[in-house]
Amino acid sequence: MSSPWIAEISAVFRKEVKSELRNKSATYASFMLNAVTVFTLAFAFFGRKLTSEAATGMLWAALLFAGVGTLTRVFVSEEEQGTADLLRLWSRPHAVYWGKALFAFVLMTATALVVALLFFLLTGIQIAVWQLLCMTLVGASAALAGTVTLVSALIARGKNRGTLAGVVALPLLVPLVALGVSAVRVAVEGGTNSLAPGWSSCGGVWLYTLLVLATAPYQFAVIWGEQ
Amino acid sequence: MKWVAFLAMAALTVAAFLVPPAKGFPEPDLARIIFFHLPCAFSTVIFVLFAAYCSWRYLATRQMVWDFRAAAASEISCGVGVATMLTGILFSKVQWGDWWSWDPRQTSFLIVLFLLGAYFGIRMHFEDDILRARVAAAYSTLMLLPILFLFFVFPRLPQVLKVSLHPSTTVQTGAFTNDYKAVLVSIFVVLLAMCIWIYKMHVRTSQLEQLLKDRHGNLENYSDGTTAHRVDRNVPVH
Repeated sequence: MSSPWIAEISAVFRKEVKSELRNKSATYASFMLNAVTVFTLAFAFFGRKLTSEAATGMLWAALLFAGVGTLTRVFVSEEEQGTADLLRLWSRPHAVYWGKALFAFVLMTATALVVALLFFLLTGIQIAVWQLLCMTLVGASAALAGTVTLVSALIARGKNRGTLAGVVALPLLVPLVALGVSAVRVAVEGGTNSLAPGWSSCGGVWLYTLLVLATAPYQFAVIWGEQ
Repeated sequence: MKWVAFLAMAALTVAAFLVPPAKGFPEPDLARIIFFHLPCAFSTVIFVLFAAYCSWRYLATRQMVWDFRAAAASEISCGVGVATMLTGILFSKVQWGDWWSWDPRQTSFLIVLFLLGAYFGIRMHFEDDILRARVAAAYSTLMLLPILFLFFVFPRLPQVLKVSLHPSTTVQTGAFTNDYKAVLVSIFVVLLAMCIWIYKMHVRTSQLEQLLKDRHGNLENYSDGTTAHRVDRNVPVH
């Protein structure tokens, strides 16, 4: 990738970081929402033994809602503040997408790690294979960031965006969740079964991520350039 | 032509009850619902893929007719998809003992219906025709990736095949006689013909609606009826 592209992408990324640092209310609200979600899920099983199947399912539900709740504002906020047209004039669509997706990836990775740590801490579940858990969470964060950034651009000018975001994004992410649940379950259970299915599911998560990131910028360019 | 299709479907429905039942099912006589379940499932796949193709064509050409085609194909796929789900649920109750068995194929099909539901959700949330067409087309091509995964990859994963209740092995190991297969394929062909007929009507209706909308929105260009003429009138200014 040539240096003008990198300069454009990093400029969009820096703009996102500065906007986030300038207005901390959205980050704070997302953090509180995620913390309360994880606490509620863990509290529902207070005093009971949580199986690895149930735990991984609950963790992925928390991650999914955290991702959709946190990342859909990426483009919605641009439309609300009236800065989207400026961004259109200033930068090429691919650079806007990659800059925004990169920021969403950093935000989602941090959110996923915090949510997972908090969840395992509160439920008392031990992790057997940390590497598998981390690789899966990072890969899933990239796929979530790529998908939800595109969905955010799609719904940015629609009506009832809050409701629409969940309706549109969640079914798209179900295959990712299916693969992620399978990988995290093996990461939790560890040595009782073979690790191979867990690593192959983790590979599936990364393959899904690659496919999303290979196609999403082109779809984004189509809807962003002419709005 | 449509009457031929209706009569053929009626005749094939009767034939579906006359052919000897297939072996290998817990309730062979009640497994006849497969005659309608499988054609509906195949039609869903065909129309979903066709809708994605039309959406891609819309993005490439920006001609509204491709948006109409994509919307019509999606609606047809949703209709036959719901029929697949309902017949599948009945099959599940009779053959497996539960209305919903969390069978991987059953579950993945439900997710495809959710994706189609989200597509219609998008269409409802945009008032501007061009913007709606563009966003819906982008979403339709975006959902192709999970749909391909759910239709073709997920049900064939070894760990999924192990727990699947779907009678794929029964079907592949010759549970269907030639008569059984002939009725099944005929129902599929007639159903597809009926779906194409409805699809064409839907596209034509959308085109006429668009024409009507254009005429109302551009009265100056409409030469058949009342034309909006320039009116000069004195306006008192105080």
